[in-house]
Amino acid sequence: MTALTLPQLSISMEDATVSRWLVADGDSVSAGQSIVEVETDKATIEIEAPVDGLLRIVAAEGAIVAVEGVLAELEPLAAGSTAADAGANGVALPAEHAPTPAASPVTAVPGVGAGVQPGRTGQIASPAARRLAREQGVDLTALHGTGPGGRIVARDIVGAPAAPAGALAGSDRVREAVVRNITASWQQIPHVHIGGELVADGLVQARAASASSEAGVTLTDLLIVALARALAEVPELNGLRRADGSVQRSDAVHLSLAVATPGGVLAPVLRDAGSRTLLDVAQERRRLVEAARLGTVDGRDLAGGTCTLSNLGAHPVDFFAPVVSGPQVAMVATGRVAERVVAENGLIGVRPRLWVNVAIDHRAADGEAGGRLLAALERQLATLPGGLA
Amino acid sequence: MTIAPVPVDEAVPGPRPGAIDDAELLALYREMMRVRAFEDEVVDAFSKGLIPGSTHPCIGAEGIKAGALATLRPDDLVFATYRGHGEVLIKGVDPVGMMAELMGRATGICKGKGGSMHLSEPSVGLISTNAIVAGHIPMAGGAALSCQFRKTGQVVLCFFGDGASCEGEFFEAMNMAMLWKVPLVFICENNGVAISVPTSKSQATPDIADRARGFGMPAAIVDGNDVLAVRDAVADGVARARAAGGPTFVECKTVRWERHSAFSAGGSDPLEQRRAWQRVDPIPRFRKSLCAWNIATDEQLDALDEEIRADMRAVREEAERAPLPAPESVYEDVYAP
Amino acid sequence: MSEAINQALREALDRPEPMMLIGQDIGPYGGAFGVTRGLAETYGEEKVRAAPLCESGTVGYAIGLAITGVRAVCEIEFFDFVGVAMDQIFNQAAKLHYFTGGKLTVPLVIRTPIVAKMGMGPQHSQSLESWFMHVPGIKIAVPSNAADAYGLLRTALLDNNPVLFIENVRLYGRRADVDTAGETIPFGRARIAREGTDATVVALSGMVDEALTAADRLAERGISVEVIDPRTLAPLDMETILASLRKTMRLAVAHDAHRTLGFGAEIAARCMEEAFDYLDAPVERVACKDVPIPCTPSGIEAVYPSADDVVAAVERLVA
Repeated sequence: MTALTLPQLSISMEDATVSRWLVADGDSVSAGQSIVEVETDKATIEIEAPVDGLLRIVAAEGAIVAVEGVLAELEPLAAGSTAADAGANGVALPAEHAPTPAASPVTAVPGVGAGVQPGRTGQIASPAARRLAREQGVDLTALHGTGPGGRIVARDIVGAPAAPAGALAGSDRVREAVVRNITASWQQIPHVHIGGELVADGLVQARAASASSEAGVTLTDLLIVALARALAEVPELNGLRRADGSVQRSDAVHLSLAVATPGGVLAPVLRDAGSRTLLDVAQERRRLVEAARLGTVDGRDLAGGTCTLSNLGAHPVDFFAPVVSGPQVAMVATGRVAERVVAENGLIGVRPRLWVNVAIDHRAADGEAGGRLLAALERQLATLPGGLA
Repeated sequence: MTIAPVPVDEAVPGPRPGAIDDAELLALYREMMRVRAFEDEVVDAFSKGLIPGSTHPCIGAEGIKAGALATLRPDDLVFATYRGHGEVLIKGVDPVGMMAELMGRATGICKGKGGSMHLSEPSVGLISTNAIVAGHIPMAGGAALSCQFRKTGQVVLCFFGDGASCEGEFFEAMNMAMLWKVPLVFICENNGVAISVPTSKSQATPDIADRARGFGMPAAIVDGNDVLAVRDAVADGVARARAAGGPTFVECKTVRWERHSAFSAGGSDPLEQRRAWQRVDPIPRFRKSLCAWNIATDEQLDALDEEIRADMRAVREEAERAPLPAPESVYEDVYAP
Repeated sequence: MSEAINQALREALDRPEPMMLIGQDIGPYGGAFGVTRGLAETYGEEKVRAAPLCESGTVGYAIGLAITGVRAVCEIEFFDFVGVAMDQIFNQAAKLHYFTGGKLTVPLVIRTPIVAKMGMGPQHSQSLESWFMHVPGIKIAVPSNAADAYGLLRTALLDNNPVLFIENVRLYGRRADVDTAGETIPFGRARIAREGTDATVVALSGMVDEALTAADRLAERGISVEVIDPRTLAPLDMETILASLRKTMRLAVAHDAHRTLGFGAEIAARCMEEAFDYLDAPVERVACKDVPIPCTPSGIEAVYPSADDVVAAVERLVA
């Protein structure tokens, strides 16, 4: 048990008022995380947790504490886990277990293995951005820097200081961040687009089979499952490009889902898409889309994507060429499922087809990889009915 | 040099001066001997690594210190140089505290912060010694101006060497002292050398007193190793100052101890240098006079010497036992409260 | 501002404790810039004493007065002339209390003005405050307006330590409301001259007004700048500066002194040491170019910092 005491912040200081707790009693906190604001006679100052631990507040907001008085106590976390693995509700999860639907997993690192610190992957980021990323549980490797020279700066960490914890500052700030990212991606990424009209029979059948259930499974959910499995076969398109040009491949597929919102497109991340059941995917997709549309999506839900799916099939869109969202290296754009007149073995038939376009960062991969992904996706779409768990 | 210290073996005691009694004469001898004994302990302690940094003994110049300080009231003020242990001791500073200060101990008069070159005891009127040549001279002028301003009747003595007399601040201080007629006596110890440079190579004129005369200041040049001559000249200056007659300059010719400091190299011929100051040593010279005037016998003076040396040995031993300051004390006294 | 200083001096001279003002031309002439006007008439030329032209000796005399019971205020006519008196300031005044183990105290104020941007040339234009920040034992006050000059000088005249009180000729004529019945301003307490959220500018002396002008211009473009005036450099209120940095995450320092090893260098180092995780951009320094200061107006324009430079620095911070 470690006590957090009020430090002597200036020679004349004798006490301070606890102005605001930045985390809740019982939360797990990490060393260096700002956890409380105190007001001295000169200024308001944030105090950081000295160690990882579970917070037990001793001095409530409004209390006046003398120098070296106890503000809080930090209990050690359960053995074998770190604060980075613990969920927001204080439940500690061992890093190697996949999240179950009942828990709200918030790992700071998207599937590249436990123990990798955010910010240690060669990203150039300001010290303030690193701190904010640490506090928000955001992975810097998933971010595109908009500062000078591509530096990741504080505003690139959504949920930066002015925002209340857990919510976006306002759609304007988000929109600004999105626009910056799109602009930077457009300017810096050489795109190659590989498109194909894929056989969609399996997709249509699977959709019919799941329509009867109350789970509310949509075409998008099926696409998510199929794409996640396909990406497992083409891992070079499932990862993040580092500043030095190498690609950090991800074992798991964390799929960013492009969602149109009143304030502009957002891309919340559906984690571990490849390990989830269809029902689970549907539930999580619903949660993310709703949060995005309401503007309540958390900073953590917006970071860590390893590839993006953008589905405009609800509109009469067949094909479109999207902008890859740096530092990801690929984005998959799908149009509508439509009945097409096709030639098969010399005969005319009518079959459901789906145009899929794979946009690729040509620095990281070639068009051939896009071709392989389309092939893999077509295979997965065909086996969907048998693939439901 | 226009005047030079008379060698001991050539010195002929004049008639016994009338205006000074036996006790005072003996006191002069005693004070010179106290300084000598103290400084001998200091040199020895330094050679044994007990005194950090460096130290600048005033061995051979005791006549100037004792003669000048004998003219003062207890509340008069003294400014001295880093070669000023004599002034500090004679003004009445506790010798154990002094020795402890030189040894950098916590019980030193400056808490071990100043060492040999930065001694201060304002309670007995010893304002400060100083490590910057001539740095203290304007301050002494200011202190004298302060006494005049506050109308206390105090007088200030400012001791410095021939080296200081080439610094700009020396001239600035003299100009202002004479301009405002402050109660200050400038006492210049001209020992003929500044570290390694003899005054013949550093001074445009051999007598530093000329500079004071340039400002219209009354000035005297005396044989610095004749303790009574120093006393008389300084007494004149003190009386003038006390009567609001302004400053006086007393140049005391002497010969420096064998080295600039205990730390310094001695130059080419240490033995020759040692003989130089010993030849004109003010203490045996005054002894000659005391014996000639039947104030004391050689045996009595030998006994007195022994007693004083024993005292100073005890002082040194006590200082050696004093504790070192705590490391955190370096942060104290940067500012006054 | 000069009247405020004059007033604070009068109040101290009225006290029963012995006190003397000493410096070139401060007597009946009233000082090179008129700051001591009327004082010799009121208090006499012994107490408001014009000294000969010898900065070193004069500061030395002032120290001698201070250590023997007479509070002293010494004027050095132009900050540039401080070089002549350096030994007395940094070796003597700053250290006497320390090396005498507290036996001597030095209640001394050394007043001197920065004469920047007045076209007087390289030897009459410098801001040398960082030299003295480097010396432990001397306090430094740098008022940027009349009210601060009054409050800080009152504090200096009650302090038992040597205080370097750095004025500014271009600010002498600036008027402001001064509450002469108000509190003294303690040393080590910065003033937030303007609140803001996007960037912090720490500005000194003449650059405070320039920073405020820059902040106005930036506000029109939606950039909110917080301007902090440290007021004293020793002791320095780093707490207020760091609290602001933690809020805005972007900081610039603006001063008339040369860039290399000016006050900004120390602030940048301390921000890095004490609030590294709050820096969203490197600390910017808006300063005089590292060349001797020319006389000609075009040269002065080219060399000294202005509100434009502060604007540019903030733009770089938020880029």
